[in-house]
Amino acid sequence: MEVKNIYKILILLLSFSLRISNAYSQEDVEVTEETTYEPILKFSGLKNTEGNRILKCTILTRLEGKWTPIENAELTFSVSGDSILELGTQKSDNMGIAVLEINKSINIPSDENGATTYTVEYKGVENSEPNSEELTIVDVNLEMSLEEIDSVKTIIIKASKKGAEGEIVPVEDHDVNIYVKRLYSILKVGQAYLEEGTGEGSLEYKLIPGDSLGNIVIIARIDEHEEFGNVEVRQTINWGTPVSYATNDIKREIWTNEAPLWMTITVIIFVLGVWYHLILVFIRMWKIKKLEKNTIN
Amino acid sequence: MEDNKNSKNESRRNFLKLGLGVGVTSVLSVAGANLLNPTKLKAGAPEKVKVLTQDGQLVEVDKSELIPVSENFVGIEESRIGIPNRKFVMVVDLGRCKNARKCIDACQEGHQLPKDQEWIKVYLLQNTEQESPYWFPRPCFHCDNPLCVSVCPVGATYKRSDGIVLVDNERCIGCKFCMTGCPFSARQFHWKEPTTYNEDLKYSPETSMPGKEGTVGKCVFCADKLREGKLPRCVSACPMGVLYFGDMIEDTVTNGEQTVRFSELIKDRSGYRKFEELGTEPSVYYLPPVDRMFPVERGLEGLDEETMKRYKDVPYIKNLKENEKGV
Amino acid sequence: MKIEEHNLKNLKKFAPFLESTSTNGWIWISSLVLIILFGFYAYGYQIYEGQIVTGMRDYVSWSLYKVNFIFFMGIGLAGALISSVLHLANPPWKKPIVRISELMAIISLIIGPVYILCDVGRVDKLLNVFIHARLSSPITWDVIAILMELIVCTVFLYLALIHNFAILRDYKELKVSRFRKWLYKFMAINYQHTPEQAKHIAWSQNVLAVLVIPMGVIVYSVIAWLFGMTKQAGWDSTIFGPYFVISAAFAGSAALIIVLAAFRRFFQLQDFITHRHFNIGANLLMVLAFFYGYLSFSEYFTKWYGYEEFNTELIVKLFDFSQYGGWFIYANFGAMLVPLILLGVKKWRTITSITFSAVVVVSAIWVKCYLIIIPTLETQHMPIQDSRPEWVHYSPSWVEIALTLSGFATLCLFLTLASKFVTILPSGAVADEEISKGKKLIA
Ligand code: SF4
Ligand code: SF4
Repeated sequence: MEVKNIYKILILLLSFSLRISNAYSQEDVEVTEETTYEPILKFSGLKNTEGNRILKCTILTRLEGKWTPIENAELTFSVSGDSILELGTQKSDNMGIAVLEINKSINIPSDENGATTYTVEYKGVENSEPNSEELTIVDVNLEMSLEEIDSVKTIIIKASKKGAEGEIVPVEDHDVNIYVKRLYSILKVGQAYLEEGTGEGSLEYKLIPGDSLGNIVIIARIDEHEEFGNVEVRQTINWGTPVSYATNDIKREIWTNEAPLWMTITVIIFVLGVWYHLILVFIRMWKIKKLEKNTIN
Repeated sequence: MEDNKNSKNESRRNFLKLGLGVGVTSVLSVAGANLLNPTKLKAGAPEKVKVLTQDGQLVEVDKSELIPVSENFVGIEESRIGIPNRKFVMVVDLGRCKNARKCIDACQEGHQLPKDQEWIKVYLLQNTEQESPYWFPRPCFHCDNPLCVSVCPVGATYKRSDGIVLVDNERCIGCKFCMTGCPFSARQFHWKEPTTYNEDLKYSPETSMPGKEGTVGKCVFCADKLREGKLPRCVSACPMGVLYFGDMIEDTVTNGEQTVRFSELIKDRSGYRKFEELGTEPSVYYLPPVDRMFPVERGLEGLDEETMKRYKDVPYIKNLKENEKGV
Repeated sequence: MKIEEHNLKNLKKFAPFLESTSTNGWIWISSLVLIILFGFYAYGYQIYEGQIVTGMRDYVSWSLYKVNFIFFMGIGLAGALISSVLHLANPPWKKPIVRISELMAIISLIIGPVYILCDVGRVDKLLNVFIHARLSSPITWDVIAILMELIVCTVFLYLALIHNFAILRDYKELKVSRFRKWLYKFMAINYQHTPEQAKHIAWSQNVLAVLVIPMGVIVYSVIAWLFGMTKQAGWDSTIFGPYFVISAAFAGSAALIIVLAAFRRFFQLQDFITHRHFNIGANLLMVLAFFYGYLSFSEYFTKWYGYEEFNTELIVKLFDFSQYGGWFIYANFGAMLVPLILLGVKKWRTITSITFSAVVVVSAIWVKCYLIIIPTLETQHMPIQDSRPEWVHYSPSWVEIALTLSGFATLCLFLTLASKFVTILPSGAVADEEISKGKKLIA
């Protein structure tokens, strides 16, 4: 229980610094109103492709009728069970989001159904109420293999969980969403149904564009399941069609930095033509000057 | 005089906002958030923060990168080079727009624009009385054959490989040729020294901040955000999901909630581009205003008088007024 | 160098103008200087406050400055064209008017580009036009073409003046300051009017005269393409180049007539600039009025007939008497019909009526420039939905008006000053025999 002690000290230190900077902030920013906020916590979990568990908590409060994220709030994550195991503390970002990643090597206690209950706690500050939230997740093992069966590109999904005696039980009768990764989001391309008995499902892959090399990240994902939370696996494969986007077929790109050749040539001819004659004239003028000197001499 | 003071205060407020690195709600940034999170005024080494991105990936980023006013600084030379292997595209679903004007607010706040500059404008379009009026948001179209770029004598405005058209106001001479060149009235001039900008910001064409008197500004597709892998401000701000944004090469656009194949969306919903006949080849597509989510008058609710006045010449509004008088 | 008889006579006549200035002259000059100084003040104010002090806004982003730019460039280029045509054709009556037209040309050509300095938002960055020149931009074409045109015209004028400087240098009785004498000497580059020197001058003048004609057409077409290359209603027109050139020639000849009339009056040049010259000017005006009318008609007729959306919107504005209708009639019908009718009837054709129609033409073309720029910019492809009235409708601010007046004042001032520096009639301008010829023609 050493970890816990260190933790207490940390909290002490932190609350001390809170007070100091409180003084700071009052100097810098005038505060007119005294209100107490009642923040809410949105708690979700994700098991990612490496098998790590990611806990995500969003902290929001009602401000002038709008849900507004709280930044820099300290959120403590823990596992509750027979004894409470502290996992760590994270500060929320400007969207009010705090994220904690638990490496798969860490052994997290679970009950006989394979379920783990996570808790997130917000201790609150002077003008903000504390709050906490719980989340129970059954650990699911999701596997994906990408194969070409009879030259049909197929995504094969398999899901399983631990039984009461530690045996492996297939997860059945459930849809797994298949996505491909995109720049700003993930694009759903279909679903794979997990068959009863085997816990296996598959989806035929349809051609969609990849990056310039044709690479594509395929994601299989159980989304917001009440029992399993979010579980996903991802894999990169060369199944995308490489697209090269060319600005249609504009033959005269007048907007580029280089002018068209004919234009450059025309301008050069124009400039040179005029200067050629100007120089001829200048030479004559110089001659006029010189002629006179000759006659004087 | 009074005006001047106000704008100075405003810029101070903006400055505070930046310094604190909060921008979600300006009120919270100044008053609320500090009480809740007093530690943030403490100076220190750049903090690392773990962030779960939209597609479910956990990344560790520098704290400063989360600040809405980007400090992910891209210089003048660098910003001439596009984000590699991308071709950005926007799709506007006219059937959903109800003139909520959140895109305008988000843009103005994100780019510290003076209130009289709107890089994205919402028009009420109706050519004749017989046609049905509809709301029409118009950012810069980032044309693939942009006349504004063609006519610029100094290359101050340029088109990058990812399709984005930017303005370098260090080079711009303010000839305003691009403004007469753009057929969509997308460009706006800084007629006087702007006071809304935080002067400590280092200039980057990707943010177009700080603006400079005598030069041109326009929608930049939030190129700074795109570099961070985030959607443009207007797209994330729209409560109706009107604006879709994405990469043509990936053939995917998203409005933050829904993600769809670009080509299918355009095909299924008969997407089109405004003024195709002018040949500038816009990168912004429109889905026709059919199957409306809201009747057009919803867009008039709660409009301030100033904004209301803009639409006075639209036949639909004229009729409304006449009916009112008649009753 | 021995000064020839007729030149001496000329000199004697003009020497007083060169040597001193009358009280009226001083009043005239100082009032012009005052206007120009006020223009400077307005310009400084604009630089200090930003272009917010002009009437320009986001939709109408070009305004009076561009109007004046194209107007003065037009007059300048037309003046240059007329001078070089006169030089090449060399009619016997050209001498008294050729110097005046050259001066008017070069002065307008200098004033024109100054308006660009007023128009750009960042004068301090103007050098970028050379540093980062983009050849595909019409502005770059403009910069190249105008600069060269200016050089060629200056040299052309200077060549014509060398003989004059030499005469002034050698006219010992001239009572002017030492510096001025030195200047004459310097400018005369040792010219002694030897046959060989005269040959060089003649050759150079011929070359440049030939050069000026196509260049003038090119330069002014390029200026027209500043507008023609865009997609704005009313600008996107294939005939804009020729249309501008013809309009410029029209306005330029009219302006020349006005300047001639003014000089004739104030310098008592009735013996030199005669009915005959005005008569020729009137003929020229009539021919150009016809061409101008023809081009205007085809320009608006096609747009009106085709009923294209944006053009229609513009045309409605131009025809509407509550908007631009009156000015439209004045600029198009006035400029064409006044010279055609007034000068077409022999009885009505007097120097006064010719000058009057020239004034009508010049002002109408200025209005025309205004009508080309402002109503078009008030007619955008996207409907202008704006609640700020000054954004939607342009009206010039005092700054722009002051700078416009300064431009005209500068033209007058420079012409006055030039007439005090060189004799306004070139060497060899002979009056007497011309008069008799002229009288016969007019009678
Ligand atoms: S909409 Fe206008 S400003 Fe934007 S790229 Fe096209 S032409 Fe240029
Ligand atoms: S105003 Fe600036 S960006 Fe626009 S064309 Fe002129 S120099 Fe280029």
